[in-house]
Amino acid sequence: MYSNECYKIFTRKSIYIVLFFVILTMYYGDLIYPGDMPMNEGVYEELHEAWGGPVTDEKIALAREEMGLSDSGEKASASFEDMAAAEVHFMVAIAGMNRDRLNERIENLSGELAHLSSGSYEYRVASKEWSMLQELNEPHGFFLIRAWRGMFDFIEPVSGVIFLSTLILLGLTPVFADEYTKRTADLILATKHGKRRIVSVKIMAAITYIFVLFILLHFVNLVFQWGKFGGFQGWNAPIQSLPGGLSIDLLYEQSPYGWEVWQFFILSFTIQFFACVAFGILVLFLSVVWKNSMIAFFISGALLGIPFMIQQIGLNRGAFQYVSSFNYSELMKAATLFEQFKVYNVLGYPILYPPLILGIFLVLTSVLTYLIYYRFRYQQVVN
Amino acid sequence: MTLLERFIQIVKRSTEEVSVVSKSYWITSMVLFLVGYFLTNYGAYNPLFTLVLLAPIPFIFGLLEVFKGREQGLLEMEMACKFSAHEIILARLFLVGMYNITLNSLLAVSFVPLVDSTTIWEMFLIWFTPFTIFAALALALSMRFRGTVFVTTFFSLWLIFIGLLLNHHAWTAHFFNANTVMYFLLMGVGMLLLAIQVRMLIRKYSTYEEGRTLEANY
Amino acid sequence: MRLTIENLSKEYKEKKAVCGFSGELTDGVYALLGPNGAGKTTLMRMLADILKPSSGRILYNGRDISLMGDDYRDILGYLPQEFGLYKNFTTERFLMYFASLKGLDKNQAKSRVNEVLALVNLTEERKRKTGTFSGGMKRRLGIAQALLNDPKILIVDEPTAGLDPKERIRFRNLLSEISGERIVLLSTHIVSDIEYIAKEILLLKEGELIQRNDVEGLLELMGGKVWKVTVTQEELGSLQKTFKVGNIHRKASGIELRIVSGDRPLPNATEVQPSLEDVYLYYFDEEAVGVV
Repeated sequence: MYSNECYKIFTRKSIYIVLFFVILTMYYGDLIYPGDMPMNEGVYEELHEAWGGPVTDEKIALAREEMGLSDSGEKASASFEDMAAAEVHFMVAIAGMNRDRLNERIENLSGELAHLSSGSYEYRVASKEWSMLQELNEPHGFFLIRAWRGMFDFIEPVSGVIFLSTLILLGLTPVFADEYTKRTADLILATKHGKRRIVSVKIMAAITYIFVLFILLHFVNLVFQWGKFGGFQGWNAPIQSLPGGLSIDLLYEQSPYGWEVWQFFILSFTIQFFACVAFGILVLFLSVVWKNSMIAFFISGALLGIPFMIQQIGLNRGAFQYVSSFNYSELMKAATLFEQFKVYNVLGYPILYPPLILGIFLVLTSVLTYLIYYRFRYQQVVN
Repeated sequence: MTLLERFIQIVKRSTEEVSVVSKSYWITSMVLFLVGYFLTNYGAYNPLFTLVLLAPIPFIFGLLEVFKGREQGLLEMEMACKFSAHEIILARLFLVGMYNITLNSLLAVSFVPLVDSTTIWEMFLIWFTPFTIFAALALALSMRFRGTVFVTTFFSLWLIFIGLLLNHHAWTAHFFNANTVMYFLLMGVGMLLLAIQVRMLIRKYSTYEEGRTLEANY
Repeated sequence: MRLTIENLSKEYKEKKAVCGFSGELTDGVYALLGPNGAGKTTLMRMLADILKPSSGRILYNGRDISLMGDDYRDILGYLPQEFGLYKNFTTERFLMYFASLKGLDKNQAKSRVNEVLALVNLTEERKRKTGTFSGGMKRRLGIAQALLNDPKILIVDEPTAGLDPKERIRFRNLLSEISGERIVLLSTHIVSDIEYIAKEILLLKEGELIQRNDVEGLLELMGGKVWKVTVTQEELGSLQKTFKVGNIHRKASGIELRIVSGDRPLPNATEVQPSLEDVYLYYFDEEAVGVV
């Protein structure tokens, strides 16, 4: 049964057509107009020797001095080495500013904590942020981690969400709907395992499809990034030093989470996979309810896209604010959940945004899974 | 019959086909464009982007109407009529294409006050160029896949293209500011592909043997 | 009116569907009889000019139909074996649409639609949506569609499938009525459909025309080949292996068999009047004949 359901999903030609274009886009999208400098030349290695690691007052002073020199024209910056050095000096200076901002924030919070009454919600929020920031261990500095930037390029920007969700939609909308359009639903419902086990098997096949797809696309991205950067150095750098990628506004410099890049990657990767499964379950549910793959396709597509549109046209105020934070596309962008300190008031206690959204979607997905069984079992045969 | 006479006949036929195309199609397409108009007017969208985004959508849904006979199993009966299946398909294709182009042109005109750097003529090139290429792609897919599969597959490809424009600002900038010659070149390619697809379509739906073949595993 | 078929063949990748079919059809009802997969549908599609033959040609009054184009389709009425309807159309609208496809002008179309609706007894359903139709009504509407342009050549593929006995009799009579000045070709594997109306029966087996004759002629050929015999349960098994057994009728006195065989199967067998079912059994070697 399981292999038959997998066969039904994996033998659709349309999936392969779209997959082909996805991989083509992943390759050319970045190749023709690269979003960022690769920084994999030898000169950066040398610069890293001198400037790498967490910033110190000494490094900042030196960097500012160098920058001053080149600005005043005393040093001609024509060669590649000079330009690279100038870039690194700039990055060190920026890291210094971020370090100062972090320290300032910790001081401000200490000040707030002194004023607030210790039982209030505001106090809890401030103390939570304060203790998280306290635990950060000199996160700002110059690190060579551009290759990891590339690895996150498949997780955080909208394109990764679009690629994954499109393929999920295409592969999974027909899982239940096709049994109705091909008029096999009546036959299946009348068999021994046609009401319960068939549903479990279909869900398992769907998850298999998502898994294969997910691993494949991440692997393809890994290969492309390897080709571009020639390695994955910087795996143990703090996430706060991850530079902005394709969209400049995505930066972790103010993130309160004290992880190394590799830990952060594994976490984001896992969350994104969960998000894909959650979305897959939604698609299956709509496929059972609407009994038509095209309608299921557009409704799930709309559920994914509308929060994004609300954000785009600046409607994210009031109740819409929750819609634009708690939705499938935010969950799929996994890494961006950890961009900054963000809590929600749950019964008077501040709960961090990432565990909250995960919890909500875990519950939602369980309910949807139950509803799939329920709907399939108690449906009446029509036509 | 000359090509022109045939064309005139198809155009005449298309007026008869208006009644077959479902009302919901006309209305949905129009509503989609109205929504696009309002969102662009009140949101922070680039009007050119809205235009490109919406351009091929009525055509895609329209193809469902074009191939309605095939989807609902009337192909064989229609083939044996005086106006044969491929002529019916061409007539509806003409109808849907004209409707799509009209909607796009109206939207482009309504955006004139919103864009100052781009002339209406350039706006036409910007939406029409991807439209021709994607219309050709849509036709190619629709001849091979059953209706619902075709629509979902095409929309997937369309989403990827939109994702590319959304994400890679460099791509978008290049796309919206390309050389006019480049547009004409791409448009030429698009038109050529479209012509090839239409020719294949005529051949395919002239005989039952070709016409009934659709991918079994989509 | 004359339809000449010259050495018509159709090959698909895997098999020959029709091979070397020749013959001439004039006014009247012709029935194509043969088991599933005999090539009936392929032959009919070629005659309807929607399928290109691999070799051979079809002439209408001496003109090659593949060169006639519109002109041929103008005089053709065709009902495929399987077909769909525009479900959200009413009966009337559906027929008006097909009338326009067949090149009828508006006024002509209106009166013609009324006529065919009356012919197939759907006048009362004219405002009903076709999506709500039962199998029988759907097929009657299909027949109505084929008759719209008053075709000189009417090709109907298994038109009685899904009709109830009353509808079938009606339809049979309808075909007979309209067959005066046109060529009607229908296919079936139910022999009772054609027994009384067919001018000639064409027996098709594995793509080849194996016999062509009128009903009397066919029955005459079967003279002395149909037997009736009463046997016991034990004898039944061996008889079924060696002879073509038509009916098996269990009676108190034993099992009465109808056997098709060139020679007397058992000494106590008696010769009986052959029927078309026996013809079918004789040529197509099938145990079960379409039961009516």
